[in-house]
Amino acid sequence: MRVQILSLSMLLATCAAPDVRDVPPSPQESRASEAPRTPDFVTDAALRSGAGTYLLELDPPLAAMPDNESFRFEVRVADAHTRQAATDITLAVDAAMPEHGHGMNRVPRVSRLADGRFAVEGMYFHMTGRWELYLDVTRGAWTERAQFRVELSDE
Amino acid sequence: MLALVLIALAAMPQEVEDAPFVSRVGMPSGTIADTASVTGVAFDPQGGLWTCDPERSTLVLHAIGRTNVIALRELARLTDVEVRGERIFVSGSDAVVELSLRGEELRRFGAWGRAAGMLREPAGIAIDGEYLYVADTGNDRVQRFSLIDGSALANGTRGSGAGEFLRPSDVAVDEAGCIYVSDSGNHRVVKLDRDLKFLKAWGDFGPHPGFFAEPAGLAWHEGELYVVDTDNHRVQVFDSEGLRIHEWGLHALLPREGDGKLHYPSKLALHGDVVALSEPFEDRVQLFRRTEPGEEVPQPQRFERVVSAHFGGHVSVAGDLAALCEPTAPSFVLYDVKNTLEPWEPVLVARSSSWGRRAGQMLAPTDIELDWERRRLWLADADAGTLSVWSFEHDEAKPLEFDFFKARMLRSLDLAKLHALGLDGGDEAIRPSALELGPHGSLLVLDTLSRALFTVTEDLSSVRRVRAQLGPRPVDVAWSEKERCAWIVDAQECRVASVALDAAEAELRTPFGKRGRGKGELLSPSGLAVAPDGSLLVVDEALHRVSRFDSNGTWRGSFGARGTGARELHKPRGIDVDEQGRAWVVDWGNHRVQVLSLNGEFVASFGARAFVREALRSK
Repeated sequence: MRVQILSLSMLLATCAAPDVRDVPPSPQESRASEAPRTPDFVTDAALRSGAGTYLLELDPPLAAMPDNESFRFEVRVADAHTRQAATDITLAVDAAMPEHGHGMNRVPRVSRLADGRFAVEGMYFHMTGRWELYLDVTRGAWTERAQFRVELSDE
Repeated sequence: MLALVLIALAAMPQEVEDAPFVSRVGMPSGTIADTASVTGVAFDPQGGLWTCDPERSTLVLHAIGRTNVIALRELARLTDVEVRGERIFVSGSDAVVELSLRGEELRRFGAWGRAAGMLREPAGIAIDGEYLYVADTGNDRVQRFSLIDGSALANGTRGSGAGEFLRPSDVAVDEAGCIYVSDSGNHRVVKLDRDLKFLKAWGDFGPHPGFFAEPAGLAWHEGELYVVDTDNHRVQVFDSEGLRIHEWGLHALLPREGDGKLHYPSKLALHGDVVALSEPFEDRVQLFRRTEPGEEVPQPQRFERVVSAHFGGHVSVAGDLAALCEPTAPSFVLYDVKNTLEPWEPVLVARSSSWGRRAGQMLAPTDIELDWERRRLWLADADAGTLSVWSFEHDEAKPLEFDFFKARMLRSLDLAKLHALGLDGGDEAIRPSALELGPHGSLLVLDTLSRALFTVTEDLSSVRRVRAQLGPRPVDVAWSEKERCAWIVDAQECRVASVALDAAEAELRTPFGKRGRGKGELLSPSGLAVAPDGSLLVVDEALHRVSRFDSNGTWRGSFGARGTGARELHKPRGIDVDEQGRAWVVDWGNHRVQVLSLNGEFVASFGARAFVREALRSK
């Protein structure tokens, strides 16, 4: 059985918010930009959440996610504006197969790691086909979704 | 040889003694028709049946040799009735009223509000000794009023845990003084002690025995609890601990089909061996009796396939798509409306459906709004207390086909958390009942229960309360680009009025509308849309028609009449007007949408499938 993941460009097209507007930095932010820069929490490969507020980076990346076995991955979530770790958020993870009208038959566990990353355990894509992976980032009253498509085939 | 015969006889099946006959309630025995939108029902000691008519605000007695009609001037939208001796108790929009049999108001319990002793849209009542119990639906709680001194005890908050309710809709009391509550939005029955303390709950959302879909009417009778399981079109009977005893109810599959078939039953009452079951959807009360030896109660069917759409109260049409909610599924659906099929008919191209409380899931979506240019849609779910914004893709150059991946959620706003953060400008969490795309891409959000209008930014990041004093029951909002104002229709006052959104203290302007059945009058307006020329289309659920008015309130005509054929409607609810000036009417009671010209000429219909298709063809 082979895992076939959509190309990165397709994934970006799937996840990016096309009309997210660039917001000019505030004076405080401009001054902050002159200070020594803190290294980004995510790389340039990070994917943008649905409304563009967050950048998410998966480790291992989507292409390495196995099928028909339980697996674990880690998530870095950064504010898209600062590229620094989003520390005041919670993360929920789920997956579904819209064509079949069901999700996973296990509930993944999400735990916060010490350096601001999240560990997602108990993931299990139990059949081949087209999956959607949902990463829901909640801050205050707002939950924003980063959504990825994963295709698993028998070939 | 004899031994062989004996062996053969021994091997033959023994005759089994018949199980003792147990009589069950559920055999159809009659129908009281033409009881407009009948809600509550109650028997008096003589066996006369009292029914609530919410459209006329009257109580009607159905009894051989006796007639009585009581009109209530100070109580609207009657929901339930109980009779105790020479007293009648009836619940309505904001109170429970105690009447004499001659209709004199003796006492009033409650007034519109949230404090203990006040009520919002109480849907069910029960009397036990010295107490009146009330399902205080809009306040998500149960109240107990003393019939001696009028003092009130309230218990319950909005939620799904112990001691919490979501739209409780009826109450019943057993001989031990325990209270049963149909917790409709949580699809369960809750049992309380006489001081309203939580004892237990049973049931969950689903069609199987012991599960519920919007449980409503309750009655305790001879040691059994009768539960009207509205969206499962059946009645389930339990003992005091929730053990299911039996059920009955065959789902109607044709319009107005009765004779024991059920369609959205609501309330029930028992007298001796007779059950009266109200069906407001079908304007009737059906009577059921106990079985006799040799009879069996028709058992409910659980369908494997969907035979009809179950659209909610609103439709949104923009560009190539029409969008509708299906609250009972729960789901939203998208139809392609620019196809070249002959004859033309909107085609289902997407559905998103997942029941639950997590982001992207739904409990009972109330409205959906499309923005074709930005490829966005917004979804309101009052039970979940959420607004969400979704993106969608649609390429008219591609072949017409169903796309499972068409829409994806971008962001969801938890309105209870927003209120807890003090960011909604109101004194309680918003329960969105209607949406409309407003000026500058903003979203207008109407909250019927709190009688408030909000503007929300397109990305849901900011909410502002419009400072306008709306009427008692605002049910729909429409934005007029021409007039640069929002129009609000009020179901209780039968009135349409406009609101300027940018005023510091907005006042309702140019109100019009008159209660009645005549030309240009309204009886139960349920939906509103603005045509390209600025005229207003008002859907009337009780009159089964759409009326058109100028923006100054002058009546310009009506179309629609009660029925199942083309140009006929049954309890229509929502409406939108497309860019070609065609009206899309949610023909709710016929499980379909009809597309009509503004003069009422038939263009197309969709959604009903088996339910009314044949009826439509016959016209």
